[in-house]
Amino acid sequence: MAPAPVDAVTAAIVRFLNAQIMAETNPVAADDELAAAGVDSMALLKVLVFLEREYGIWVPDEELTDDVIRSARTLAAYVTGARPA
Amino acid sequence: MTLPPRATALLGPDVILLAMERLAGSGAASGNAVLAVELGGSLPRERVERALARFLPLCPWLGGRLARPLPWGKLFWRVPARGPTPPPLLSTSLAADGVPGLVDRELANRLDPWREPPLRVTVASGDAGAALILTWAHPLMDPRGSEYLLRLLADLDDHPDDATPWPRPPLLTAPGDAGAWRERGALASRGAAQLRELAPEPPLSLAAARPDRRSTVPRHRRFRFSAEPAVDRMKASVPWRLAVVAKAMTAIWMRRGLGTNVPFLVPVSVDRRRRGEPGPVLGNYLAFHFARCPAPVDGDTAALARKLRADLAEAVRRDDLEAAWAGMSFARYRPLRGMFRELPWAASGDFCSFHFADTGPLLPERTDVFGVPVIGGYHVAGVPPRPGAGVFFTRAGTTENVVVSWSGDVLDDADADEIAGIVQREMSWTPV
Repeated sequence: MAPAPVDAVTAAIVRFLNAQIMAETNPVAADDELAAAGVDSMALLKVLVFLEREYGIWVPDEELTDDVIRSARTLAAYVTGARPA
Repeated sequence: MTLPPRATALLGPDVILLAMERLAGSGAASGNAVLAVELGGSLPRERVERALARFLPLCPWLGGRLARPLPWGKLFWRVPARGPTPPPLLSTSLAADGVPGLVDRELANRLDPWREPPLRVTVASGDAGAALILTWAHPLMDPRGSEYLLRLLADLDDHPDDATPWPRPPLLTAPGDAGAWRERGALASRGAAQLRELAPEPPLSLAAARPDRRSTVPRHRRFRFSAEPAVDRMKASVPWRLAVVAKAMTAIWMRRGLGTNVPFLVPVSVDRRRRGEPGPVLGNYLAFHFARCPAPVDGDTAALARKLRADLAEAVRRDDLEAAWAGMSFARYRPLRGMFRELPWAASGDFCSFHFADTGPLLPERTDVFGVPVIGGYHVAGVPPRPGAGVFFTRAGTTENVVVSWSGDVLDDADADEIAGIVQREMSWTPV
């Protein structure tokens, strides 16, 4: 299966965040810092489970760096650059 | 500007906590919870009073919060003759024992939600400093709710003219149960099954004998956190802090000679509010996940944190948190004995709980309230059900606050020191 383009995965993550995690009055955009927007460790777990379900990729603990989880786009970049487990 | 009161229903966790308090009978343990805000100067009492008076018409407690009749009687504000009695505002001088002494007294001075307003506000000042204390009967709101209430009062003070539009609308309406009734019922059954699976027998009590349930002892410590963002982020995560608490719990476990082969349950309260706003001010918007912690005998906190993170991820995959929430929500419709069928040992009241909560930054958007700088603050809970113990984290500015609290003889000062020491080491903090 061809990897999903970064923009498409980014859009899917943003849709999930705004539908399931964020308050209606506080939506996030593709490049917003997730931690600053209030996405804590439990909310991030939900995002990671969403990525696993949609793209078959689980981000292991050792790769949960600030560069990976900074924004929806950096998460999407990880997903499109990694191989499904 | 006057907005109509909005109804906020009792939620499942509220009902259970209220019932537990009521079951304890008269002279029961204090169910008080406290938000202590340390201030850089004396609060102008009249400004607090004015904001409280303007807030009351918006407060949903008076309108619909406790509308559903409860089998154990009407709460104070539901008795028509008592009407919308405002929460009392008290003034006191801060004694030599400072804010901790005042917090002790506020915890001990039990609010009885059946006989008085379930909230009081205390302004205090003196040689030992100045503080604002919110004290409430625990099921009425959770720690985030108390911060939101304070923020609303401070916002009203910022806009003293009624003609000026309020900067943000009050978000006081509880979300309804999502999904079809049948679907919620199935989820609730799963939640009950989880409880049976996780806790088939009563957790071992740390108390040497049947404890005095009336007392709650808090011990507050302050620390400075690491300035390295990556380390700070990792150690601020729920799995890491849970692992630290589990490690501290193990130390107490071993001090009691209970053996390291006994896993224990730590109830983790997971905030269901959407991120970016505190959500409704009243009620417990928390789903409880019971982490089954093996004792980390090898002292490898990182390994335990990984295990707990995997455990929490599995709970998210299986919708366990949603099932736990749905199970709680059905407590509104089922008699309490239904819960005791799931956990028969709970009916005796003979159980011990160990709690963990991380309420994050205190009032992140504000540096002052009522024109007075906020210099610190923390939450203290009475750790129901009892006998119980808990470790509660609150970050305020650059200070990490840790409160170890317990009831009866579950812990002692030496235990609290040991827990605080473990937290300090594992979080790489320095004492203030």
